[in-house]
Amino acid sequence: MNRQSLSALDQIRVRQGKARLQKIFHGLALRNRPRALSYLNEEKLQFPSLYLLMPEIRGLDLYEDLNPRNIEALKTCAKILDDENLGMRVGPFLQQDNKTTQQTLQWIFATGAQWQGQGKTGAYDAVIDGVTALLTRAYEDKNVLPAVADMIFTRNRQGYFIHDLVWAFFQSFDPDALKLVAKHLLSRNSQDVELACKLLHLPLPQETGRGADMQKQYQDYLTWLEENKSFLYFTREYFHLTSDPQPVDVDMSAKYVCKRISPKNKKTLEPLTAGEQRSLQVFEKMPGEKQKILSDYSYKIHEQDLSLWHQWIQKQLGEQIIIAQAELEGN
Amino acid sequence: MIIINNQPLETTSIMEEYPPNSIERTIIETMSASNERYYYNSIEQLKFELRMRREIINAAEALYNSDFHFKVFRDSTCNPAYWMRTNDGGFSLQPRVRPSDAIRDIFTNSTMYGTECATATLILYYKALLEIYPAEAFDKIFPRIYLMNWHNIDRQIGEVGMVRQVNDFFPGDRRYFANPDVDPTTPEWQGENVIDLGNGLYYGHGIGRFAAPKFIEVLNENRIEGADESAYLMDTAGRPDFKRLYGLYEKAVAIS
Repeated sequence: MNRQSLSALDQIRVRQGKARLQKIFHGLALRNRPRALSYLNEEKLQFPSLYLLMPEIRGLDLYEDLNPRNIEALKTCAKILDDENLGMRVGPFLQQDNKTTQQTLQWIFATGAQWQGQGKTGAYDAVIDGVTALLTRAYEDKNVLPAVADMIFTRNRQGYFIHDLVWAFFQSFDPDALKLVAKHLLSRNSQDVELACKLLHLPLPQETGRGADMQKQYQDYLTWLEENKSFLYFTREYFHLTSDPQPVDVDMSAKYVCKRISPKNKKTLEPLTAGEQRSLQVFEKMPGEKQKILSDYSYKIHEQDLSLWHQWIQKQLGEQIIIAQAELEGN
Repeated sequence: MIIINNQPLETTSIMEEYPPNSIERTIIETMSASNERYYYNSIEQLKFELRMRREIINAAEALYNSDFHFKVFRDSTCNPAYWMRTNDGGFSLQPRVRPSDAIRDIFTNSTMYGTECATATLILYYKALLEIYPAEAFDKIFPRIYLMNWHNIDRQIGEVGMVRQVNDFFPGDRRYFANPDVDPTTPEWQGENVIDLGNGLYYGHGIGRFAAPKFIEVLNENRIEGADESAYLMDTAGRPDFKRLYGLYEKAVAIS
């Protein structure tokens, strides 16, 4: 990072550390309160400095002169850390009520997510994870997902807690986000590969020939994702529930009728015809393996030849299976 | 229906071994009345499962009545004489500590411990087994206990970390109340792992010992602004592999 571009307080933090930052700021605020506040309210201030100066802000009672961004940031900290005293001073945190809140969350994430000065088990980390979840879930901000994915794998290598961050990542309900995890299948680091497999619900590769295996598994996964993306939904299975979560799954009914669904709630995004509704009633009573044959075949011919698909989908289900099996076995 | 050694079980005599309204009777009655077939190699294998389910419930009641705290992973606490707190907030056995002593300590010095509901539930399985296995056997079977929700569970009880849809639920099952619209700032309320105590009651660490509506009410109080989906009890259960654990028990008893 170019230190020249850092704010005055950030420069002290980066060069001299937390204790010096707090001491220098405290002394300055006692001597020249307006200047101390102007430093704190600097536009290019980074969140870690504000966070580290929270005790001084409290002790010197600087709340009233903070800019709206800093007030919102402190409201966010109070909410996530369940700090009632701080909450009473700065007011309640309200989601989705104004642009300042969202911009502040983005500022906290952009300037604070990568900072590791506090270690990875403390309150600071809780704030970052909470902000991430607010952005992905409440504000549906997908721009943060690449950085979140990288944070998950970095923390995992360090043995730190990742479960809340993983949860926040999947709260985006974005099938494209799976690619951000899949790319770690190609990592040379075995911890990355194991975690990527776990998050994507893939089998771990054998030790021998691992590189080739992973390249194939990566390509296969991308192919699978491309084929099923319109029919994927998020199961909301996470580490809190199970040691073997399957965060996403294919809605075979949707794939069978080739109708897109919402990955968040599994509802179809396109209306079903009366004929499709009747077909689905029978389809959904069939065993899983037959559903898979039918849905895979349906998607395949829908992509290849729409008129052929229309002919096939109007046949009786028994006839559809015979055709699908013959075609799939023939291939 | 219960099948023992390929024969349907006539349940009258085994039922008489347990008090009326006991959870063991409830389990046998549910199994007998079910369309599912519950297979066992011997009556002892079935009794082992009944005993273990009883001990899981006893452990849940003991933890509920203890001073064991609710803490998120970042704030988790343990007795350093027995456990090392790991970077991810889990607990790993200290070197040269007997696993059986370490598990017991959670219940005797409960005030020194704090974690969230999944890890607390995992502890219940170890405590239940400690009540059944001789301590020496327990120490040999579980030499490296790691407590961190359903992560890296010992392979002998690895199945407790899985959940699957089942047709029948029994006292001693692990169940889960899901909270799909949880407040993003409180992910610890995304759901509650509970043990089915029988008689419509559940124990979940952090909420307590209640019937299902109370769990749903508490989870619903921790939802995102504008939430429209209620918390609910999932139709899944987590269960240890009782048969494998019985096999280990048989071996342990034969050796001792």
